[in-house]
Amino acid sequence: MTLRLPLFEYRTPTSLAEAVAILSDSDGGAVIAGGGTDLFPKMKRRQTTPTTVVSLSAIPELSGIEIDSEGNCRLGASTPVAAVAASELVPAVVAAAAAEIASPQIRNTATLGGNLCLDTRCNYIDMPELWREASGHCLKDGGDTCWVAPRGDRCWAISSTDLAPVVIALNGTLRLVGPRGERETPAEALYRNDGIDYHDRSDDEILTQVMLPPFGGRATYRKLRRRGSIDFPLVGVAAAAHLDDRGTVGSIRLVVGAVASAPLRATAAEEFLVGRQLTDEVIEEAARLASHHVRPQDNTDTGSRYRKWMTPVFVTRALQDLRA
Amino acid sequence: MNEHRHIGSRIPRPDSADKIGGRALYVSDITRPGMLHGAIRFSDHAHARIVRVDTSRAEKVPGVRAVITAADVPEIRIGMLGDNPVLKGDVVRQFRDEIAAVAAVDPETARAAADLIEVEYEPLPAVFDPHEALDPEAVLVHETDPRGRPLSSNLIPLPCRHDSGDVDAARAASAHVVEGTWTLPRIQQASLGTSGCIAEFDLNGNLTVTAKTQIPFLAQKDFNKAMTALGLDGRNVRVRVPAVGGAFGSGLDTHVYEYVSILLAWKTGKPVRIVYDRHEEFAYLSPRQSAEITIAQGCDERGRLTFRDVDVLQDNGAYVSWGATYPNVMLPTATSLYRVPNVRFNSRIVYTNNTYCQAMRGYGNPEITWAIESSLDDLARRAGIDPVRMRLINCNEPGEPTPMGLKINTCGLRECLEQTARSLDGAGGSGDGDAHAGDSGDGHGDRRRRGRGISGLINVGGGGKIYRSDGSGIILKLDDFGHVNVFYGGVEMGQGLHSALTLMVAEAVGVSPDQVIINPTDTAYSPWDVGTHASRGAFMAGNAAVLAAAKLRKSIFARAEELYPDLVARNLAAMGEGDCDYDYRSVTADMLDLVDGEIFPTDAADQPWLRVPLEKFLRAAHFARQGGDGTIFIEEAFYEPPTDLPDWAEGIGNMSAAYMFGAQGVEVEVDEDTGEVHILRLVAVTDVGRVLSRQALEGQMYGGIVQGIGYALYENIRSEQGRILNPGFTDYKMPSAADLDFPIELDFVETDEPNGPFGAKGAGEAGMVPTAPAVANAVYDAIGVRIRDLPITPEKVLAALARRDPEE
Ligand SMILES: Cc1cc2nc3c(=O)[nH]c(=O)nc-3n(C[C@H](O)[C@H](O)[C@H](O)COP(=O)(O)OP(=O)(O)OC[C@H]3O[C@@H](n4cnc5c(N)ncnc54)[C@H](O)[C@@H]3O)c2cc1C
Repeated sequence: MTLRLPLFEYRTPTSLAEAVAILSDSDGGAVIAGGGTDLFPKMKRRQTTPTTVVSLSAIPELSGIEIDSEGNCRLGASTPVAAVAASELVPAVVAAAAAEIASPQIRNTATLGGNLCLDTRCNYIDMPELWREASGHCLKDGGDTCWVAPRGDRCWAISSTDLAPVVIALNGTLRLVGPRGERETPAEALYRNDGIDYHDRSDDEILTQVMLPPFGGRATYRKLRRRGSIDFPLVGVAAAAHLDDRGTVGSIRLVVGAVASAPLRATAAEEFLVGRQLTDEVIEEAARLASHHVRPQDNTDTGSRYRKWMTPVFVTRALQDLRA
Repeated sequence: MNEHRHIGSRIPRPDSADKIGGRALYVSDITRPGMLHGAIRFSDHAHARIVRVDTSRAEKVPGVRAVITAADVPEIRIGMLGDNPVLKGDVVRQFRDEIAAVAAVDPETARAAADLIEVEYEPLPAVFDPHEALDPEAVLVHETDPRGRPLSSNLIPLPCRHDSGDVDAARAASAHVVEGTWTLPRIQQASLGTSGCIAEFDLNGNLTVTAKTQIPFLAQKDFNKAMTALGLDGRNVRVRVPAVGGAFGSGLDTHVYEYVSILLAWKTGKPVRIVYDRHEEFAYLSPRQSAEITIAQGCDERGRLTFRDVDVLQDNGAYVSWGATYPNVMLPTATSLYRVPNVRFNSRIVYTNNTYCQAMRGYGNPEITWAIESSLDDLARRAGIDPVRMRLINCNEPGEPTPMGLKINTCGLRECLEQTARSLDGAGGSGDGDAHAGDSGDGHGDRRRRGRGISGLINVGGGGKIYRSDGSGIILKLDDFGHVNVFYGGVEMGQGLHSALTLMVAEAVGVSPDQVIINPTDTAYSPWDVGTHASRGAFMAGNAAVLAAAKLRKSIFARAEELYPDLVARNLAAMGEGDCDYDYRSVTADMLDLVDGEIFPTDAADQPWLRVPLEKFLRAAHFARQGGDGTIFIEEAFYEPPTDLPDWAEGIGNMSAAYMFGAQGVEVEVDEDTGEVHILRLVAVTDVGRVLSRQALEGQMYGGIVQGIGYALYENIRSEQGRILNPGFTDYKMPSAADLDFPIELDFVETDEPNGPFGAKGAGEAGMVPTAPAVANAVYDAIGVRIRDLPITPEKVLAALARRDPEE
């Protein structure tokens, strides 16, 4: 038995204030758990050994989906991914992307907040402790070498959340609550392209809500994975656009997930697309612009070149979806 | 065509309710009073000298009952060549080498303490590539053999060769020749139930091991070595087999963790359980070997095969298990799949510092079939002959001798190929790389191509003799209530052996299937069996059951001659009938029959009062009125198939009592943008001699085919410097339900094998054997590129497409 949970204290606060208090009193020893589908495996592998796990499951206001008076879709962070996938209140692209996460069992347990806060992943870090010890701890693990790119000085662990690219494409806003109070941030601003410090969020800040503004355009999410179920994205492309009657792009947000430590906005491609119709030639150029700077590393189950090759293919497919 | 009452029926498996309902007890469910839990400290290096092992911190952990290292216990060497010391004291040769172990009151404590054992190493240069391992300058994985004699090479001394006819002359005279190298990765058995055992000693020094094994009797023999080492020579070893959650070959050897449990149990005087978790199962258990097979085949102008020249190189890893005999099981296929007059087969298997490998379903046969059947498609195209026709031209026929000397009594290969091809064609639609324009609502359908491929198969179907005996014993014991209690030494590990055996015993004895009770396998009362492998379980068990049942019926009828008149008289009285016209008082043994639990005279089968329930007869026989007259019925039989232990250096010998054949056909769609291969349908037609339990057989076929698809498209144990990179189900890709969204059409050809029980041949491994080449042939048909390296990943497909269209 190498994969057993370590001992920890499990807390189920019933109010946000109580949760914040536990977190700020813990001196960094406490972590937030949504469904725990990412957290508990990591604890089994001793990637993290918190003294206290603070479950958000008993805080009523964190769960549920509603449309507010301004037409914004507001999703509580503890809403199960399965509920997001089944919801008719959320934009169809959000439900579709949620339905492609992991497997049915995991979606029942996993939460929206956990998905957006998902830790970055890598072949080298997501291993049991003894394995990591034998190979020598990597950067993300407190060591001094990245085994993916040993000559570099950064961590290349991958942002693998399926929902973040979609929420960013839809220009979503996140609400966070911590000991210093409450703040709102554009979803895009939460993510940093750094495998270790992947969030602009302190450990005691709780993501409480996702707000999606009303959206009348066309949107899509295209996910590449090895198998038809279970697998994390190898590439995920979210696109949301407004097209006029003649098919000319008025505005577009294009986000590429799972090829870096953060979802990447393809701004050059976006700028190129605005004012153009989505012809094959335009899509080809946009796909080139969206992918030429993408540098996936060799840290998933497929070689890095495959993800590199697939980025333009999936950008193309996403843009074709918008045209259809 | 089926003259049997139960054979071929679709009754549900006898073990399914308890397995589904959570009642079946697997090793991990079993606890013993005072039981401790063991954990192993594995190596941190692929090759290193052990300088120092410090267990002091582990010993201080509260709850720890024993910590052992090589220094504390007598040396026990395991494996076919005895090259694997249970605990490594001086050198580690692979990442998973076992250095020390802990017994503690719970698994968490045991694990935590094992992790506190400090090991100081002096790293040694290592070798991970089998080609490099053969270099005369290469690092030696073993510097001496188990007896201490120096070794000069990493080549494992297990020759397996064949050379018949004149391959070079035939090659020179061939109209068409193709040659290529085909490779296969290490893959995992990936049983749902992980490995584990409980070892316990009684106070007389007798050992009982509850083991997840496929070889209870060879395990008993192996564990005797441990007893000798512990000074317990002559004490008894009992091996009990609990419910087994799949094994697929992983239970074909005894494992270090079992000996560690024994040592810890001996040291602590308590039962000790070790159960691997999924990570340990992936990282510290032996997978299937990788293989590199170079093959040349040729044919004449008319497509008749002229020769086959095969060279096999396998990376064994650091220690030798039974899995090192894969080439022996490649031989029947290399020499005898299709009619080939001149065959050369050479094999080398080498030590490296990779994880050591072991048996898995098909045991070399999927590997060699991958090479032969893919290369045969290339040859067909080279010769301008349709691939199916090519196979039919060279099809094996019953009774035809093969270069290895296989005696093929029955062979349905032709029907299997023809029917598979017909079903595949019957689908209509496009083949041959036609663009697929349908269902392209997503706007990129024009880059998808469809193709079809086929592959044949031969597999041992009547055991596979690679050990001194390939036999099986059985005991049939009748109780007072008409039940037949069966004691058999083979192992039900999910494959459906008990389903088939239930039907065969019911049929052979003449009772209904629910009167047949198959007991758990236990060396204490089950008769000897070599092990459950090589598709042999149902074949051997059935043959033994038929022999024992004949004896049983004979003794029943002999005794019935005396008791029958009285029992019928009681029947008549109970039914309120007077006397009847039938002269039941003169019935003799040879006039009686027993069917579905009723004894009756064959010439008056339709008269209800002449039918005596078996259980009434049994009680009458047991509780006889006259003193000294009681009889109970127990019969045994030992079936040894009429086969030869081949001469491996010559590659000659009829190793199986029957050979099973089959074909699989696949239609795929390849996405040229992503390189993804989607299977649209799969057809499998298999000559199983006779269908025994239809449900179990279909289950075996589906399971085998899915494993074959895993081999073809997904599975691969990736490793780096001997360390496994994907030791879990997240990163080790097995096909998921969502990937199996196509029809699998099964059919069976029944050739009525004279050596088989009720005409049946073994079928357990067949499903997996031809799947990968059928898929690869379909991929070639679709996009015109030949993938020679499994699995056929999208990345490899795209790379091959780029070579096909260099301008792209
Ligand atoms: C086999 C497998 C396959 C998977 N496949 C996919 C996939 O295809 N796509 C995908 O996107 N993910 C996948 N996942 C990852 C994970 O299951 C999902 O991302 C899931 O949505 C995480 O949600 P959770 O509630 O379980 O997160 P948790 O495990 O509870 O939390 C994840 C992280 O977020 C933090 N956190 C959780 N909630 C909050 C909050 N409200 N505020 C601040 N921090 C928070 C936690 O501290 C933790 O660090 C997979 C996981 C497994 C085990």
